[in-house]
Amino acid sequence: MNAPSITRRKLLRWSPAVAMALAPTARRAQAHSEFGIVKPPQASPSMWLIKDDGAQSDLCKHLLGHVSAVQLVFTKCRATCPIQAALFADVARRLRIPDAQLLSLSIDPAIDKPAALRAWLEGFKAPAFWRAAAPRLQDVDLMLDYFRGRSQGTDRHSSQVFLMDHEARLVLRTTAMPSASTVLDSIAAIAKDRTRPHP
Amino acid sequence: MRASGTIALLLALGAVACEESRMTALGEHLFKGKRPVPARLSGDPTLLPVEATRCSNCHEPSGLDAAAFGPEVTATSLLSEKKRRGGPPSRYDFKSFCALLRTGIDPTFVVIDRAMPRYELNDESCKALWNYMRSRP
Repeated sequence: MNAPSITRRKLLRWSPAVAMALAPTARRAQAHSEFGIVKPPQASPSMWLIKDDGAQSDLCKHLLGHVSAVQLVFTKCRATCPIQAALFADVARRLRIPDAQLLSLSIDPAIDKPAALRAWLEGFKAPAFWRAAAPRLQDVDLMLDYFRGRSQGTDRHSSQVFLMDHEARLVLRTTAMPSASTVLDSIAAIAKDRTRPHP
Repeated sequence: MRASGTIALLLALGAVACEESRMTALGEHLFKGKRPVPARLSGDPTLLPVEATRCSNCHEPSGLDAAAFGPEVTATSLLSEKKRRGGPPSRYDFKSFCALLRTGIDPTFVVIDRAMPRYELNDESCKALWNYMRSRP
């Protein structure tokens, strides 16, 4: 059976904002682009997370069966993270897709223990489908490499949103600090793609 | 007559100084988010919460880095002629400072990083921020 895939045409139809973001890179919309459709989709690494409720889970298992929007943050961050969180809060308010979820991944597991993550989520009135989690310290580099989430400076990271399909594969990197509408349209396009008939 | 004129002048000067101090204090409150200013990401209609849009969040040192996330904003950084964001040398004045905060376009018409919100500032708030920034050495 062929695995479902997101086509550029489908995303363009669903999201004018995504279309604007992808237009300049249409020719190079490959896995190594800084943003755009990831083609072929990249499987999530197996990586242990400690979630805000204290439960441990493998990243891949947490993502399987959902369309997921993932962001990189840390709770002590005062610069871009509050804006990223406000973006996810807005997405959460407007999200109507069953099985969709939001995940804020910490780049600072030494500080971001479950209580800190929980308090951070509560500060943004996060619903149950928006979770926060931190990898083990030794897996931070793996996580940053996978998402291409590095930026210059020790407490700097990408403000992109990473879209994962139901099979826990990275299928789209947005531009930095996308609008809530872009994230919502991208989630909708990925969710809809799953339901299309396969030849 | 002469004495009363001097007193009037001193009172007027005092009032001006007092108004300048009031504006600078208001600017500090705006900078630190004690007085919220409506702000949005460029092209996004959603208002951001004040915790996300304080100037001090990015323009004062915080987090794990000793340096601020964004450029430090002081009298020197605003008023000296220097290259910014790859554009030709420029310096800020009140008008270009307000234009940057409202539109994200700098004095040489370079668009700043999208991560900096665009602020809905009235003239008084903008003047207050301009005063406060120029008071920072």
